Amino acid sequence: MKTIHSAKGNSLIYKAISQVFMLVMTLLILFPIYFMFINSFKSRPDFIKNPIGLPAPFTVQSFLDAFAGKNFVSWFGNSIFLMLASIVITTLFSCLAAFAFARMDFKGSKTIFNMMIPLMSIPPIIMLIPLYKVMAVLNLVNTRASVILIYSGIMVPFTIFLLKNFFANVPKSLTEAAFIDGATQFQTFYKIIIPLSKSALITASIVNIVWVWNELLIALVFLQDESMRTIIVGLTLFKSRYTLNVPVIMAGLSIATIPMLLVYIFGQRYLVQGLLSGAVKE
Amino acid sequence: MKYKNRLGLVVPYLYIMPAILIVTLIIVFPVVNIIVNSFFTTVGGKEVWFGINNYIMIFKDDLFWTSILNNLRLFASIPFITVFAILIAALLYDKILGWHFYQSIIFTPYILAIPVVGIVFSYILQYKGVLNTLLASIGCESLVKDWLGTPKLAIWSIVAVVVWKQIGFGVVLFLARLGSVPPVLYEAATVDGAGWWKKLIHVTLPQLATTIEFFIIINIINMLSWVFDFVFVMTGGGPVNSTYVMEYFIYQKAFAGSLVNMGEAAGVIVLIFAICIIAAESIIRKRLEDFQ
Amino acid sequence: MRKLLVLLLVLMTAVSSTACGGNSDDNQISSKNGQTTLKIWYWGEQEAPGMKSFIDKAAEVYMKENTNIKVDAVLQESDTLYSAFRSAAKAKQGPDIQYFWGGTQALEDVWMGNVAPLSDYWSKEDIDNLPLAQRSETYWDGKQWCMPFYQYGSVWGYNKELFAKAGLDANNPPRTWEEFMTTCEALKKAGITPIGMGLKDGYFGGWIISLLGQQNMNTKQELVDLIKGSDNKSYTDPENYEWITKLKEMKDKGYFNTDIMSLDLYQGQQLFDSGEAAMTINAEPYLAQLERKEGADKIGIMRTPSFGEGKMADSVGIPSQVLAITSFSKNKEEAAKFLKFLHTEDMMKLMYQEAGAVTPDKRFKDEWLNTEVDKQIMAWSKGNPEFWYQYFYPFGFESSGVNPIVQKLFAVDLAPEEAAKEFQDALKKWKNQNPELLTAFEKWKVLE
Repeated sequence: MKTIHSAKGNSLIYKAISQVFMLVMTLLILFPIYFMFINSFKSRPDFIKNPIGLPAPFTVQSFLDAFAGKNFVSWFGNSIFLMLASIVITTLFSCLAAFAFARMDFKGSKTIFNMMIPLMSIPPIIMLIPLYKVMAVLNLVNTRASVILIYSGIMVPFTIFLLKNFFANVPKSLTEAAFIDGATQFQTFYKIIIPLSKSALITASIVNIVWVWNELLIALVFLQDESMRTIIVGLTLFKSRYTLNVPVIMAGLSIATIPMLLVYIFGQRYLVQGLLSGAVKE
Repeated sequence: MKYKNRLGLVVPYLYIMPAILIVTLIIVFPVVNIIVNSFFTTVGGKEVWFGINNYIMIFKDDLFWTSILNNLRLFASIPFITVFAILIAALLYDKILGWHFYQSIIFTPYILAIPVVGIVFSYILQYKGVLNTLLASIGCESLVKDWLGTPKLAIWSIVAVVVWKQIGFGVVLFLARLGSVPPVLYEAATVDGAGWWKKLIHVTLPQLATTIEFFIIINIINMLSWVFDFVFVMTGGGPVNSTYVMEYFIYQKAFAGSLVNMGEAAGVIVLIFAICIIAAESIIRKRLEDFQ
Repeated sequence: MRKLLVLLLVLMTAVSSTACGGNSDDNQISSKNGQTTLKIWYWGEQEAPGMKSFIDKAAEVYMKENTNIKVDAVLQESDTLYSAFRSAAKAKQGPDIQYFWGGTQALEDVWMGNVAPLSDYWSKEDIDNLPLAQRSETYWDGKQWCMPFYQYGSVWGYNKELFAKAGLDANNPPRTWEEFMTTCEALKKAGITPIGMGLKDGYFGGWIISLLGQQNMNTKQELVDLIKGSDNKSYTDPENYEWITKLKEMKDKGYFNTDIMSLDLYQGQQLFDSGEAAMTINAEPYLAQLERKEGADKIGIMRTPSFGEGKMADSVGIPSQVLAITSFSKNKEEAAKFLKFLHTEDMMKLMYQEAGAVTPDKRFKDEWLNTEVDKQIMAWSKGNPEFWYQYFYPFGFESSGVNPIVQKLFAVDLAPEEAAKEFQDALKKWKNQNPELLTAFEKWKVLE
């Protein structure tokens, strides 16, 4: 059947509509972020007079106040360490398991996989008590290892779920061809499946990195030692009633956000490449 | 792939073993513990058998019903998030003018911490906040509302913020999946003279089907068990308890009150609720597949 | 395949062993090299800034004097103060000394079996140094359970300049309800928001009931009896909900800021210090700090104007936050000794100097105080009964009853009688859900 509009005919309207749509979305998305950053460069009276416009005068005092007396270097290091360790464990474990779930027939495969999904839905807040008991038994209370284990345990089901979805989409013909060429099962896994699922791995890692970096509840409860605090914990801990100075709060929030934002901005190119490079050339 | 020897039968289990071990330790064991404890109550620091009384008390508690209802209201945002995310992903995949710029913007909310988002929006949505100032300045005084301070409105304000934060994830996910769609399919559709809309319906959507399903399930779980921080920071369950969600209910019972076991029973209810939804989803999907 | 698994195992052990890094097991082996580690989980920096600095300095002094003790004090976050502790208590592994918000908020953990009684470890003379009013907040079943750590007199602050601007006598704030209403009206007429407050987080409920609710009572026990329901007492009795009519009067006359529903308590209070509102309710350390900044000729404080008939109509609220020895601590004697140390003269002075917080102790000397706010509150505490309503009803009743109902009073048009009925219903619900705590609560004879 022929379409009413030719491909060329609707392209102008299509272009206009899509641009307007995207511009509106962009404004909606950017405004709160703009609000956060712009106000962190204002003085308090300036903020009260003028919460939307550009700062007049421009000041970094709020950042100095937010930084004052805080051990950002140590917090930052802790966050990085927890993130790297738990992401490595999660990714490794999940890749292996997702491969098995997506590409192998074995007894209980479906049952085990289906049981894993609802497990993600138990609210973490009520997990605190039993997790604390587990860590007490393992003698890991108040160690980074406890938090790394918990993070990994929470991220693994989600990651398997996501990766299985993508692994299953790699055409069977490719792996079978490799198998016939004498590749072992493990070789097909890391030479074919993994490279073809780069976009999925990137997506999963981003989600997990963002989650670990911003995680508050578990880090607060399980790291009862100031030398182990993460950056987001460090920032919320001092949220006292005296720092209700909005620009200082906004500066604190900006500081918490900037590392992720930088990673994102610099990783963007690779992200886009990775996302769009998964195309299978058959 | 066929395995000739016995070892072959064990191999799949070796692949899943590390994951199973860690999940057992961190999730399965605690969940079992929660389920067992939900049938007990704590008297003077000791656990005493309590039968199903915790559950009965929960069902009798009007706040429980408010919470469930609010979780369902949050579910209402899922269709919007999904549709918008698909549309945006499709546009970006088309490489419309400035797609690179749009793509980098759209994902930003997702990388912000929820407390950060919550605090920023609390200021924007205040009665004397920026949103109302803007509305008044463009002559929409009738739209000036106390967005977080009005019982009937507050939960919807939270829903809007959740949508704002969550959309970018959908876009990236769908874009990742579209990246691995064989371009031949689109080329074939173009040759057949299909317009943008037709390509969306006949190529993009079928290709995205499993990813959409994944996205919806993840969002259901999100709206059920991972929205605590939004509520805690933006409304604290108020005004007049109108923004209670299940997690907040649990928190209030177990930690603001002294009903840890009742909180655990509520956790079990959330789990059962999630299992039911996910089961229903997979039944619906099977029906749809059979239908087609 | 095997190789990979071995590799994984090695990696896991490597990660966990580097991560454990030394200080993991000091709560298991409490004395290595004969040293005892005292773990303290505290809070307070958020309401008395400088508390962290005080604790750090105190710990340093203590460790110098007692070389066999290592004090490990960790500041907690408001949101997880209770969830972290309850998790630790269930696992019976955690701090030796825990901070609680006072009154029933601490007693509920006592009733759950998480606290060891202070009076088992302190002598009678030590206990006698604690002022009766603050002692009574955590005295139950013949024992003193917690140690009052610091107090925070909760009073009204008023802006003397704005009072003068509205033609009011800035040195004679209202004492009766009628005077109070006249004052508010005058301020409103002068275009000034009379009271700055925030209701979004709900905490205002606990504050306002503590300032108004007690006014028809003669003793603290009367409140405990009202909660128990002895002699058919109920919130629907006119004397028990008169305060609601007063609150509604203030609301209906428009004496609060218009955006009260969308501000948190602290944000509402800050309208006062930015000069946007003439009055607010706040705590001693905050108001004292404000006085140091703005001067005593601008910041004044007053007690709640009285309308009630009871002896408590003239009461002043000086609640205390507490520290307690945990029931699972292996170092209870050492913990008790450290708590005693916090009540020595040097430490009381140091805490006031660092955090502006007053130690509830009979040995605390008036001459150490350096603000009018602190001196005034100290003077009131001597001539009037002390009562902080919030500390004598169940904590769960506040979060699911008091706070949301007060919000409702502002969000919709709710008659005081109906609000009173809702209070009684909320109380009934709490009782049904907490039979264990109720039994403990019913045993409560308030020390007066």
